[in-house]
Amino acid sequence: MRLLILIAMATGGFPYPPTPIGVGALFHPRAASRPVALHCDGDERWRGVHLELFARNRVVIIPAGIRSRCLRTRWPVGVIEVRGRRTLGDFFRVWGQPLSRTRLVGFQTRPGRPVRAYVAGRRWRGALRAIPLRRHAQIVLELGKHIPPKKVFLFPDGL
Amino acid sequence: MLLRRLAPLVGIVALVALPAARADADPASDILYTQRIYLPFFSGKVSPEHAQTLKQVVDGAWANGYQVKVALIAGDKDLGGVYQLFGKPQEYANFLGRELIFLYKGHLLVVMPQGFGVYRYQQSTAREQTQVKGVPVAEGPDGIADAASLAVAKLAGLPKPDIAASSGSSSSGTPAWEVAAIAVGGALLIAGMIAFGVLVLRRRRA
Repeated sequence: MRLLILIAMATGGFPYPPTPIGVGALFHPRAASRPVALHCDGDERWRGVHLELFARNRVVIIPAGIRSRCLRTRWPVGVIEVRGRRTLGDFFRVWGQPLSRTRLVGFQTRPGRPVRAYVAGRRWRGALRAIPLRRHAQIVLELGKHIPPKKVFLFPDGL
Repeated sequence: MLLRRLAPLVGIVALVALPAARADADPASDILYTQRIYLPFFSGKVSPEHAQTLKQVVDGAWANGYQVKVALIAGDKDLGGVYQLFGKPQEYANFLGRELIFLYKGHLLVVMPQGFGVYRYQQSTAREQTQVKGVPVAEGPDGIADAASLAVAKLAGLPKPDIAASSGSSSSGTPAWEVAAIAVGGALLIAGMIAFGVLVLRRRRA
């Protein structure tokens, strides 16, 4: 029994390796705010969504300063604040960056190895741009090597 | 023989406790690749005077030739998707340092209410860890900021900074009841797994 407890304690650590942040402009795309006509559906409250981007086994930074009436990033940490019923496609439209099966921000891939999306750790099989930005959604987009996605992100209070 | 009998249980424990390699989602890495200091803003805030003291000390360290970046982690929310590392400053320092390796290879200091973690790419930090071990960490984000100021000054060989009186009024992240609930829940989960494993073993014997 002691051995079992020791095994449980030993395996309770944090064994998984981090993914490094990429170097160069492709991995650090600039903030932009395109004049996209979005309606916030009368929703006055901002809610938090977390988006992670990975390309070529590196982190792509989502910059602070992407702004519209219903979407904004105030920190470069992947937290998007959303009002109304918005989708991931809306966010990329405001940002002015590509998102499709073969394009993710400045990166391209071939149809045989498309951009993959995960919501709360589960593979999203529908259109990438249709992913709903629900409160506390944890969304991961990947191009290239598979990085097992996180299911949970802890949001700041009030989001 | 013993190992064979234990195999099902070990498998169950490993499945629950050992996640595969994962993506990272900690806010500090996204700030520190351009900044020298990550101040907690998801788990309470450092007051401006304490933040200013820390900035002066860190800037002084760089001016003195000691490159250091500092992450203040006041609560689990400041770790975002790697909240499991809250309370493990050294483990998080190792994790954070490896996220930044292509952009920064100097010293990295992590401060949590539980203590310090120090990392430097491909270098031992045993000496630095010993140096900061005795530095007290007071309660709240201001307390963590003050501890960081003292630790950086010590590491960089700077005079002890004049720490403003910590108000202790800032929020200190995870409440004690939440930590206790997580601890009890974890213990129950492990106990359940062990009981299940014993049951499987008994059935095999029968």
